[in-house]
Amino acid sequence: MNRPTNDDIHDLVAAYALDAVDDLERVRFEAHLARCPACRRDLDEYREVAGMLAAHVAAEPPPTLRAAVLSEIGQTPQARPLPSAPSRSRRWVTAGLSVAAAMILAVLAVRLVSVGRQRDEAMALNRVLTAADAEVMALHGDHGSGRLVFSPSVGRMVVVLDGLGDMPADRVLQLWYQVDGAMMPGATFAPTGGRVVAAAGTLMPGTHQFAVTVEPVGGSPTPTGDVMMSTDRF
Amino acid sequence: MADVPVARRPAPTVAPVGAADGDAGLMAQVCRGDEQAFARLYDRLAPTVVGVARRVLRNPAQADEVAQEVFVELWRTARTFDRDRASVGAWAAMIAHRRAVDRVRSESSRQRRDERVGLLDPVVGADPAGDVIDDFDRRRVGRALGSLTELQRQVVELAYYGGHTHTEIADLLDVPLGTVKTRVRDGLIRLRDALGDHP
Repeated sequence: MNRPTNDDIHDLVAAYALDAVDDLERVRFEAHLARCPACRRDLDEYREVAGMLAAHVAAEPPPTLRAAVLSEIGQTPQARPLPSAPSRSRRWVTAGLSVAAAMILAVLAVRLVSVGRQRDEAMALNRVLTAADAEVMALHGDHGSGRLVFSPSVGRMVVVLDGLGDMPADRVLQLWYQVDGAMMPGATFAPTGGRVVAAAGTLMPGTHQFAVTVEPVGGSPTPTGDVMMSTDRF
Repeated sequence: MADVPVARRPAPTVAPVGAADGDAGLMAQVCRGDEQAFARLYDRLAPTVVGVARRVLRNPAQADEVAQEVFVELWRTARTFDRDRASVGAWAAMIAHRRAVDRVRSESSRQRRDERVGLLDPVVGADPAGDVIDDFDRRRVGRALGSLTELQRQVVELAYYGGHTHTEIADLLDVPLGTVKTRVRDGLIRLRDALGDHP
């Protein structure tokens, strides 16, 4: 199969808007989309066109569907912000100038580190998503959907999650490896705009399923939140 | 391929295309958990959601299952809807189309899909399911599709209505992948311009 090189990733926008890309192209394009305003703008326009194409084949809904839908949504909670941790101590407000200066330095240091990290991560993303041996696994659940991409030759995984509800600042998503009945902790992610595109460590030997839960910032050694989505067993 | 859209059906009951403003207001209520507002939104969106699912899946029972899943997803993720980025209709169509395509590509549907390969049937004016879209919008979209070149229309219809990937379309039509990509893009640009009133 022909796989696009990095040079023509922009060319995928039209096919992506029509869902005419395969799983791997979808993930690759979504990773690209997160940092390409031009493609974002084109995509929004093409999706309106796709909406017109959909409306063009509108059909009479079956009479039973309305009641079935309304009954199901009556029992389905909307994705809402999760409860957040108690607010921080007010003592910070009265802290002196030296503390403020120290904090600015700390923030700068973190930012410098994170710029480096972002660059490494972008490179890892790219290497996995363009690898000839990349494999895609779907994550399903009632709280969003996603894809895991793994390249044996690169030895890294990439996770792309979508349709996530609001997350409070003190919560993250955590990936879990199901290995011989035990849940082994994986990387944590903070969604932006309901989405996650991130490098996600490597594939642990013996893994036969992945799951994603909501955990406190920093992650947990064992899952404490409900499973948001998971892969099939493999 | 048929060229011209023909509005053969009785007067429409809903106008899913031209109802953008009302939809946005309903969405705001839906985001506050208003189930009655969602019922009204359902009435406006259901013909499009059901129509696109049936078109892609070509199996009414599966399509209706998908349509139900779509509406539950619309309800659940209402708060992630960004009105600055999309109309409610386009958002619903996107979720419906994505789900239908995922279903048609899943292993259980593989067989049916293989049977469908090679179906280059025209979409315009040929839906046996009883269309309910507004005549004006129908003609407008039909005219826009009619303004495409033969190959542009083929690739757009095989992609969107057929649920095929561009690689599959290249095989089906026996043209290079690059050509399919260009035609998909040119086709969408032409449709966008022909449909006019979108940013």
